[in-house]
Amino acid sequence: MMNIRIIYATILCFLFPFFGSGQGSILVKNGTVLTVTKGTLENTDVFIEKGKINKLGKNLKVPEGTQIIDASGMFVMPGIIDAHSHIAIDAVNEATSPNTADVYVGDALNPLDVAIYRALAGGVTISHAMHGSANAIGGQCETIKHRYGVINPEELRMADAPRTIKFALGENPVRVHGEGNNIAPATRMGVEQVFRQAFSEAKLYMKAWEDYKAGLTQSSPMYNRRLETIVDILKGNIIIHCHSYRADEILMLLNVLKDFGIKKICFQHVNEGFKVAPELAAFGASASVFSDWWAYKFEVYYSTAYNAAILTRNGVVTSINSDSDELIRHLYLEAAKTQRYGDLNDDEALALITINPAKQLGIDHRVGSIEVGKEGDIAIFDKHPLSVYTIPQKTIVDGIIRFDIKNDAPDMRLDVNPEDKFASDYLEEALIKEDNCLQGVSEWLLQSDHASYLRFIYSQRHSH
Amino acid sequence: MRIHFTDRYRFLTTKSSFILLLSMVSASFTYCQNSDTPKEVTQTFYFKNIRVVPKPGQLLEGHQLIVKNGLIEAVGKNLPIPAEAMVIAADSLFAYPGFIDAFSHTGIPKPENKDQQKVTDPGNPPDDVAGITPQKTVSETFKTGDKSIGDMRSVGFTTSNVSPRGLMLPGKTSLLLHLDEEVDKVSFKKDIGMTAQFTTNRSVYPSTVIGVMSKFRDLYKNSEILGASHDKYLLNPSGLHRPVYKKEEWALFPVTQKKLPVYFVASTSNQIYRALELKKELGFSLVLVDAKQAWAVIPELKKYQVQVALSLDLPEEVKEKPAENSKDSTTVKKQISAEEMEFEKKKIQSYKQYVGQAAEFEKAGLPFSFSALSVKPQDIPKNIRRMVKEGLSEKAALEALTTYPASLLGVSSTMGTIEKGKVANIVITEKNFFDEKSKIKYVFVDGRMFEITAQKTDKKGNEETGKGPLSGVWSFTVEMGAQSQKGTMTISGKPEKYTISLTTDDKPDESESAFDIKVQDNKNVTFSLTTDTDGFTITLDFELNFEGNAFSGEVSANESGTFPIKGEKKSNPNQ
Repeated sequence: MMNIRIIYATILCFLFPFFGSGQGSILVKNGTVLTVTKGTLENTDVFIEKGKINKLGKNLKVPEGTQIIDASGMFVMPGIIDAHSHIAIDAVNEATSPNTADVYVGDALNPLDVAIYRALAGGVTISHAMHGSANAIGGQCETIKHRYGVINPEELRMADAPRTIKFALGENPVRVHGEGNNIAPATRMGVEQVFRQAFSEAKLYMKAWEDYKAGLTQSSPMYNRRLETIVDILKGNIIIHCHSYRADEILMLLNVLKDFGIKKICFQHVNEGFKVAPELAAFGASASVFSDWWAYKFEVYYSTAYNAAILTRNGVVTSINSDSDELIRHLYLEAAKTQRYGDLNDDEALALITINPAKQLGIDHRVGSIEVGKEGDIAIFDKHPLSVYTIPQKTIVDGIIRFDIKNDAPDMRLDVNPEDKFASDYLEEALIKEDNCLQGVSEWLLQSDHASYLRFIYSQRHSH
Repeated sequence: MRIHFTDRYRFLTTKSSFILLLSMVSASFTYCQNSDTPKEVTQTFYFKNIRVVPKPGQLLEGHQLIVKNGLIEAVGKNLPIPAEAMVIAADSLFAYPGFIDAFSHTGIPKPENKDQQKVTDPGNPPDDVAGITPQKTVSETFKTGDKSIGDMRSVGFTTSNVSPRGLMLPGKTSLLLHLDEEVDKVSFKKDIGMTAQFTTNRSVYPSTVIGVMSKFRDLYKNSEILGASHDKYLLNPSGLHRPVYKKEEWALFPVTQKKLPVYFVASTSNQIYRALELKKELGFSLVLVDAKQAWAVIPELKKYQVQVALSLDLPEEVKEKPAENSKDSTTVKKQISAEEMEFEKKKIQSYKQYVGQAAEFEKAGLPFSFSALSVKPQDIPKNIRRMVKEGLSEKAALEALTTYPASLLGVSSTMGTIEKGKVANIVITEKNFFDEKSKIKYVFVDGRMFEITAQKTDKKGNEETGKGPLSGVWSFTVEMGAQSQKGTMTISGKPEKYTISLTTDDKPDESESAFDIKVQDNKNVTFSLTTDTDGFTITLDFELNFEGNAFSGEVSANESGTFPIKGEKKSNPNQ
């Protein structure tokens, strides 16, 4: 069994500890269990065996030698899930084309990113590592489990999680491609045409391959990874996660999807979602929002902290996300804001950061609540997680403790360059001025002839 | 001295003198490093009473070694001296097989910075702008007599598997002999591998690692399709469209047939995993190049039987900080945070892992060769000795320098050992090569002798005041096309221990310190520094030539290009 003490000791001996994604067995004893989907269970044990929740109940008998955590007086909740983040990836934006459906941030996973550990310190066990919002059709994203300590990127992936892809509406794609390169889309209308053109081309591409395979044509069509991906969207194999703000654009995309028979869509940010909540619900679209973050650019002024509550009350599956490696550490407080703004009850508020994001990522049958048979992802808090006084104590992924506040070493980095100058990577990070959503874009613009434009980007306080 | 020689011709600007020099050189078979005029001609050398290491792990004491017409004529005892031979008394000398570098750009100068071709649609750039030129070979860019060739030779390397420079797919590698001759004459074996790397032209697709991963698959699959169409068309063209032989896809076809391995430049563990992912998915044969964090990936490399060329570049030595001196107990101790203490500890551990990488491979029973891609040649002997100090056996180190790369590159029958009939690529050292005081005395490449003279450092510097002739404040100007960057360079200390720092006029408060400072005769100075611009780090390599109160030279920024720099002295120290 791997506990944090061993992890720490291993890190001291070798900077790169070898331990696999692994699955542990652990008994979390006598806590207040917030199942989220099945109510609150007082003085209840949770037994995780080989990475899966095996039993829930009082005074559970477990095999001898099982690691036991005494959670008396503490709160045990499902591991928090962040449906929008950019941690643990080495590239966010392939900002060179308005359609980059072929690229996949899962190819650039960085399991050594200390941001994973910081997320664990906020009870977050799963995040959705996303491509950025520079392109109308961005790259494919990756759902990762926060198994901090693994070095093989493969072990960071949540195996068999559905494929997802980033789309983006509005200012970002227009700014990068229209203003930046003088190509389409230069307007919001142009963004719609990027989608329509891509879906139409993909249909022709699909037909060409079908004909060839059926022996109707003699010469093989060329392979096109970009169109292959769009074909998979058309076939319903990929969930779209679309960066969006304005209500009119949200309706526009819904219309496009209807025209092409696409059903799986989660709108991201969706600050004006409250205006079109019934329409979203009717379509079956979900929404992943900030609790109260707006006004960082023109299209994000018309916003409200009631957004999550209004969407929830209208029957839209809603989550609260971070889009930030700092905010990801306190998503439980972000969820708590919906009790002040919208009077959501505890289960509704907690669902925003557990079962609902799980639904949006297509993994709700595996995680997102404390139920027998689900994966052993647990966060333990000293106070109720929606209390402003709460402090995360331990975070468990697949039955393995990956964060323990009692064994929180001064430096948890896995990869230290022997030539590094700074003891604290905060100092290094202070040099990075870019925001996550447009990461890589300014670097790219620096190389093109767009220095003045670059300054404009920098003048923007935030670029979600 | 060899270095003088090369440096001198760097200053010859007229083409005619350059050609004249070349013709003088190639007229002779004996290159003598001490003289500009080639010496007497012979193709036969007789080493009397030499210790021969014919292959790693063996040592023949008091042998005779004869090199004739480019080949090893004989190794043995009591061999008669051929009449035409140049006899070298070699009582204290060791002979090793010439070192083989499994991957580098030796002989390929960095490209001049030229204005980038305008691309109207960055999502759809021409292949060469995107860095996709798998059809290229070293022939187009090889520079006869490039300084890097002499540099590699002077540290015992007789051949390198050389790749063209470039981005994602720069071209095919060739095994080149380290002679100062034109490419066709130094080329020993062509089309050894296809180079791939994660480097991109940041302004066009693919601009990021995710773009490269995707584009690689796309090209590969289309190359497979082209190959299949080609076969189908050859069989029966009737009724078929003629296949379009797109040169990039056609060049990759042998890779998809597993006839040409991919030499993937992958230093960090993350990069290595990415290259492995492509291999697993597509099935090509993979050689990892310039690996620096491969110790972390050993189980996977074993599993997939991937061959590796470990980097000869190592981090600067990290020393444990000495315990506090008790005499200073009265002075206020600097408060060190727990985080800083942990950091210092981790730096040392991390350092040991980088330097101990080769030893880990040996322990795991994984054979490996070395790549000189990112190392400064003059650091190589020192770095190999650091690896040995960290647990690598001398035998395994030699294997990595000789027999293993020979088999990797498919030249075992002609290189890698000292045996009769093999190509006369030999390193002759004073003392065992792994001895810290060992010096390389001669290097034979293709049977031609190069005498290696140690670089002398000028000791005229005034030790007491810690000043050297270059100490002082200098102005500098870097020309970058239409723009120029001005600033100030401060050199202080003694010539052996100059410290150099630079500031630019835009940001006079931000000073960058140079590292890897190498000074030669107080004239030629090379150093590097890193600068953080908008969150990404660029390493700049400076090569300066001082002449009186002025200097000129060039600055190169990775693959971005090379820019001229010049400057003059503003003031002396203490003025």
